[in-house]
Amino acid sequence: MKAAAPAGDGDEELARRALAGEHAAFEALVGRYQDKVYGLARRLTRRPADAEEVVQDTFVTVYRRLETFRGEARFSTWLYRVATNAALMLRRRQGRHPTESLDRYLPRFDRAGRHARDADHGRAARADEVIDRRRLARRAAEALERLPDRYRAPFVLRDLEEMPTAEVAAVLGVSNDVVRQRVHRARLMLRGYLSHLVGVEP
Amino acid sequence: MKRSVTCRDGVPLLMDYVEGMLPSRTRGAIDAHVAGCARCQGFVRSYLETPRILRAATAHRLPERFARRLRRTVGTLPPGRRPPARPRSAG
Repeated sequence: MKAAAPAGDGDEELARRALAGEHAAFEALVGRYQDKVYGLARRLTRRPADAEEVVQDTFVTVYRRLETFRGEARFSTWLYRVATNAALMLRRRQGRHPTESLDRYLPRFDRAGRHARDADHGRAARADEVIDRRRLARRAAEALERLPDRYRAPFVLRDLEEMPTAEVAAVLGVSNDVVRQRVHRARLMLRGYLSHLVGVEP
Repeated sequence: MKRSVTCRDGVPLLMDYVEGMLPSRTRGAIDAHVAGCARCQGFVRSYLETPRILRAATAHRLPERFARRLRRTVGTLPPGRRPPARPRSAG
């Protein structure tokens, strides 16, 4: 008979019980995180089939490596690190690299240091009102795809998954400052890309 | 004479600016520039909205078909390799 895994149990307690052989505890962890890990994987890999592979790899890997989880980090931080690495490994195996960088969407300035054009820069802030929802979803996914890996993962984790900077830093194994620098640059590129989509040059 | 802040000066500081992490003196200088610069006002607005727009546009729900497959996969994983800790024998 399977032991019940109450919803109120902490992740680390469930991980400990799963390691001790209580399968229901691991199933409870999967139930708790499957949506989050899938959402993260879709943003990091784009294609649904790739995201499913990442999710499955993640939970199988976590299960097999439960012994190595020492509880020094939060379980969720460890899980997202496994998921992020699985997504990056998949992309490398597939040899997927952005075909065209988003650098050209970084802000430009004139000689006096002013934004280069007298354009309505705020129009990008209304991109979701101006662009058809399905087209925007397609273009947004393309934009994430075109970000270099070193910018995509921090931006997705911090700005799209809304994790605190320190947790993103722990997931990626970099400093808080590096996370912030990369998120900032990703935001600038993506802001410029949205501007381009609504007909305003960055 | 002290040079006034330009749009170019503000962009590298924008993340710290919108998240309230700049020293008050620097923040004041940027505030003063933005207040008088329509381009920067639009730029700041779009910078702030970019994560929200991308978040909404790339949100995906776990497909139920895959959730069922995942449950089956997890259900077939072998039992934990380490047995529950046994009580220590006395002595």
